[in-house]
Amino acid sequence: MIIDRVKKSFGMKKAIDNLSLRLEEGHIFGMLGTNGAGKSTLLRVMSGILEADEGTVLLDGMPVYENPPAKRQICYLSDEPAFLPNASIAEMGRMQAAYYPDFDLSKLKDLCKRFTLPMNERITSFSKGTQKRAQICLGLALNPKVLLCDETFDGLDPVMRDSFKKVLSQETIDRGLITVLAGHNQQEMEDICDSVGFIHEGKLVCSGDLDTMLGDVHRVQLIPSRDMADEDFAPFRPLRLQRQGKLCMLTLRGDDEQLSAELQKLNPLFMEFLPLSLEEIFILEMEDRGYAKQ
Amino acid sequence: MRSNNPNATHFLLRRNLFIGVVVFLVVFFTLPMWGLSHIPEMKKDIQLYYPPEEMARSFSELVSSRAIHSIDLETRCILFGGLGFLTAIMLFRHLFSRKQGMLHASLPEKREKDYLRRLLGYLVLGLGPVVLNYVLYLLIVLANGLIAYVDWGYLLGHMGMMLLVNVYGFAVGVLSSVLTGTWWAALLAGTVLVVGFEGLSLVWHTLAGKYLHTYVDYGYSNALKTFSPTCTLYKGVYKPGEARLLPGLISCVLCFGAGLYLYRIRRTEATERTLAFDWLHAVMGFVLPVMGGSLMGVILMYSFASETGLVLGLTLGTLLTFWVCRMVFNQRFCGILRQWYLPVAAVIVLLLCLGALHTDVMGYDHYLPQRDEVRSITYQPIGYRDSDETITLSSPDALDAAYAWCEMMRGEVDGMENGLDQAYLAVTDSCVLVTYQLENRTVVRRYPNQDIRNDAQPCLQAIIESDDYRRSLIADYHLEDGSVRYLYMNCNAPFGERELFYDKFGVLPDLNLNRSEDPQKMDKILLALRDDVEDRSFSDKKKREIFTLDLSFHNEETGEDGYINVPIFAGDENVLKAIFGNKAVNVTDYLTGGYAADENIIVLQATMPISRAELQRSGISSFEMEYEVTEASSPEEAVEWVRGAQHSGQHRRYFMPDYEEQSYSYIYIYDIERLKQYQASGDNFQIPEDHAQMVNDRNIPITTTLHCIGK
Repeated sequence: MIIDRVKKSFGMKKAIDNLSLRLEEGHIFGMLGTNGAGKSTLLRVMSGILEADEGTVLLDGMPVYENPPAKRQICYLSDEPAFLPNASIAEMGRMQAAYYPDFDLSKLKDLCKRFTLPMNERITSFSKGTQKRAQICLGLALNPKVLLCDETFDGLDPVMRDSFKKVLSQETIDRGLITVLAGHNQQEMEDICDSVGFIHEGKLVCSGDLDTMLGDVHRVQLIPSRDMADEDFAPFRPLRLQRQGKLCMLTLRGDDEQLSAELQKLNPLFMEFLPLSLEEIFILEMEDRGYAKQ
Repeated sequence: MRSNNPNATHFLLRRNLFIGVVVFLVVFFTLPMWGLSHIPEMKKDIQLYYPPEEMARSFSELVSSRAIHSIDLETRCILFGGLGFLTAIMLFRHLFSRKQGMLHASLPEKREKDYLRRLLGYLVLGLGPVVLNYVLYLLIVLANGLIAYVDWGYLLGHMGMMLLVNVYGFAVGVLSSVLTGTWWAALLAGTVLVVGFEGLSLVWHTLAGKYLHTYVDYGYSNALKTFSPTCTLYKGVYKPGEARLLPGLISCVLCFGAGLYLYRIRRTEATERTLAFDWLHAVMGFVLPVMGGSLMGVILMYSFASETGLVLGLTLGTLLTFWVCRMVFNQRFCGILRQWYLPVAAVIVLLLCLGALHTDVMGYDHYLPQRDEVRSITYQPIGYRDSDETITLSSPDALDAAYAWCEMMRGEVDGMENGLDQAYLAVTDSCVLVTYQLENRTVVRRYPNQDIRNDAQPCLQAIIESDDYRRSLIADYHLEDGSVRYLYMNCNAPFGERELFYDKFGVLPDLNLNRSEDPQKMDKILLALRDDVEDRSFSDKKKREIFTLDLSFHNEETGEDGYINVPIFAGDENVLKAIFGNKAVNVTDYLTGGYAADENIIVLQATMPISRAELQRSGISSFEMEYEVTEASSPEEAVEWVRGAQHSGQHRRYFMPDYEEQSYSYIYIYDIERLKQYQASGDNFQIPEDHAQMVNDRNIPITTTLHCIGK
């Protein structure tokens, strides 16, 4: 799936601003962003629900918007599950069967059984979490090529969340499903995503392989052998510098071995490299762009 | 197991089956239910109480007409149109909910296909139940053994029109739904689409009638009957045989076409917004204020009875409507001043239109087609005693005279001041409606015909003595087509009481004829009347009518029913002879003034020292005027005076001269018997020695008042 220089505005507000992205088969992409960053809008443009003002979204070379062959291969799971009024899962299944040739009724039945969902009860009578489960089951039963999940796991209990992650991983491995997970739960992203992207003010500020991203930023605890001013650390271009007595805590970007060699030149009395979580990296990136900076 | 991909249309129909059920039930209770509950009972009644020759007609009326008319016309139109509209709202309800909108937009389907599927859904769920009810009704008729009596043309015509109204309601509903994002906004849009422009034109038509001296009311209703889909469909339901289907059909096609185009380009995010398209804000920000401003303008014009009220209403109404619309569209109070230039533009446009009307910038009132363009002129006096005359003149001489008369009337209009009240006062009382038939079009004007009547006498004489005029009058009176069914005659003379008349002449002064009872007499009178109409001179018509014939006619071919008043003048010797035989001469002599020779009659003449126009200008009441009163010295003089006078209502004839510039007299006629009765009533009244004193006592019963020109 190729998203090429997509722009989308609502009135005067730019929701997506010249955003490009490429998603490969069998790939789970995590999309992190601040509130109102444009994640949901991007997913809706990718699913062909919204029309991009500029740019294109292509799936297998086909434009997605108003193109049934492409849309049949995409499933969008909205942050607010939407069902036909008073419909049951069975009724929703019948609707999907009418529109999606790849819809698999037996798969839906299996998933409902596995996730303990009644097929013939009104979905609106379900709890919010159960509605989300129903939405996911219905989405997976379509056998889509692209699954776009907008805060889908929010509201699910840990057991269900884990079960769904397993199903997703299996589908990704078995049939090369492309999954895009948008949300705020970085831990979840770290658990299952192959790559992640940070969205801020409609722009993709950084993206890449999760391991690379995690390996690119480091926190170093350091006790220098002499008094050092903040300016003395300037050559290392620290993302963040904190002091606690003589102990300096530096957040640095770059290759850890190269950084270690450079820092050794300061003859530190103590030096230790600590791992950073995705959440910490996200906060750093956002702060770097002036978001909620005190 | 793979799904067998069941049809999406089938799914749509199944999901919306409730619409079909509701439509079926609503129509069921208006038609088949009526059939079930009324036909068997009414059939029995007809069989029991109706004569055999009436039975077939009654059965036909029962099964063809009564069922259709079991609910009144307006309710039927609103019901069927409303059902169509609501069906559209329900079938397109996903456009009013963000979640449902997203769900539908995510489905892999082209919008045009989805749109057409929903139209198909309407055919099955909206029209299907209506047709099913029609079939059910016919089965009920069949079960009652009355199917042979069905007037298929009438019944199917009505049913077809109701279906068309339903389709029209649906088409408007579809367009309204696509244009808006909430159901109530769709309802508002539907109202604007169905009656908004008709309402706006009604308001401006009313204003044009108040400003333009010669503006004709019929133009507006004719335009509506010709072009408005709502009005033509309404009329079609009323009379399917005369239905103009084209505006309704074109309107449906336009609504469906525009609906499809807009449905394709409509953004998914437009759901739950009042207006689905940004450009609609500008359009509605202008159009709705124009409508609201115009309406409030007319309301304030009537409230304040002035042009100031109108201008105030136009301005305030426009601004208020804009701000209310802005609040409603935005669903909040803030931002109502955004696009302030739209209401300002609307106010400017409205005031410019009003200014154009005030100054008659287009020269509407002054316009008169060139003489050589005019093929014929048809005129009809309005508000005169001759309002039943519709005269068409096409022969060169008559046309010349009519054109010259119209030029004079136009000249009178040219002399009038422009403005609201002037036009209103000038032509609300009485006027002449003139239709100029040109080569390819007609021009219609109304003229006051007040001040030019003295100068127009030669033209009017040429018109009234022309063959064209007489032919028109004979056609108006239905004297040759045999359609007159009833004839009543009333006496108009002041001394024409039944008993007195019978005592004097041995005949009654009234007549009541029914063609079915006495066709020979009816034909004889109508033939005589036709001969009289052909011979009437201008001076004959200027005399006071002594009788009025009320003719009721029914045209079998056209189904037209009507009623007309025909004045009978003293010169109409043939018809008077046909009615009164050899008494006609004596009757005529008596009614035209002979009664004044009676010894019980007192005739007084009060002569004003100034003309009526001068009196009017002075602002003094005629009662306060010093006038000279004389009593007729002999029966011959009394008769002479009466014969030389007009009846007080005589000036209400469009062709009579306007004598206001000359001095004038009143002739007061007193019946001594009535005076004695008044005296006996104990009102301190004594018949004075000098009868002339009675003129000053306004309480005395005057038998009649006549007008004289000069002394």
